[in-house]
Amino acid sequence: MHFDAIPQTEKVKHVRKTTYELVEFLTDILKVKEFPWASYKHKVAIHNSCSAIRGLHIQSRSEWQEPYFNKTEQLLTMVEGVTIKQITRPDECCGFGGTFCVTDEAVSVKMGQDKVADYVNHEVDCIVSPDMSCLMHQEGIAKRGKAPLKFVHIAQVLNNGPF
Amino acid sequence: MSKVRVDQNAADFIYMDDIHQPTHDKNLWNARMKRDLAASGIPEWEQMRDLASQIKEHTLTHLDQYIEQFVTEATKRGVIVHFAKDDIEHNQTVYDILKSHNATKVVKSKSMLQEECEMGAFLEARGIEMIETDLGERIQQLSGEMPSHIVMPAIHKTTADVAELLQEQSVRIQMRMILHS
Repeated sequence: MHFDAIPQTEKVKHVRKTTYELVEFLTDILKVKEFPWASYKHKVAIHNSCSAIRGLHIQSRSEWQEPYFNKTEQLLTMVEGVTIKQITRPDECCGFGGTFCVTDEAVSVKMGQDKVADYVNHEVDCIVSPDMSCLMHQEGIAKRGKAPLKFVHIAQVLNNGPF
Repeated sequence: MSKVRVDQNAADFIYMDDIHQPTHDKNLWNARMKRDLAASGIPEWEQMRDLASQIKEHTLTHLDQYIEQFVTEATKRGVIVHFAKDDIEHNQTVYDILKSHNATKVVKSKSMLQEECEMGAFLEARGIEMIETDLGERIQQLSGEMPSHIVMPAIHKTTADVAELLQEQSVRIQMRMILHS
């Protein structure tokens, strides 16, 4: 990417090259094929963050003409009991966006409410994501709207808890 | 250009009622779906997108050369090219041309540059009536609002909003005709 505030020494380059997001590390480096200890009997919707989709490319982008893939889904299908649900706008931003949720609060909240409504309309009972901040934002909105949804990090599911 | 409070505009729009924001969302999502459908029918879409991106980058990084080339070629064909360093100079240049022809009316096609220069207000204040030729822009002009989108200027309005606006406008025109007769 474009971060070059510090000199790009060999050491720095090495750290950059060998730093991975959890899902891509499990999928591309460890190439994990099973999670025999894990069981999660839920109707699950996946939420990959915008940066994970457009920056890290852990899932295909719906606005691109490219073959479908989703590394988070690939991992979750190895967990016994998980039923993956597809929502209407699976890679739509949830509206968190860091400081955006403070500077543009009305839009941020509305986007979150739309996202939560999409889950409810598809009878999802749990949202699994590799991104804590998206989960936090959506969970707050779901709680205020009294939507019966659980929000868990993918590490919790793959590790079989704690929840 | 006067500063636009994007966050405040968005908040006002979201909280105004239960109709406008959901309709706007539906319209934009439909536009997105149509775009995806069109793109999926072209096998080389992504290559074309890359190429277009490269052309754009090339043009922007060689803009000085292309502007000079344009000026040379256009001048050869009898076109007079004007330069303006800012909105004030731009608006004044347009106004001076109109004034030299004693023009009192001008039609204008969709231009975001002229929106940013607030040329409409500038000309109106100097007695020149401006008529937008693009329907979306015309709707926005009659509403006294800026466009909410660069290619879909009135996308935030519902059919009912436009109907009401045009009705008001027609009443105003009829009143004027009665007063003048």
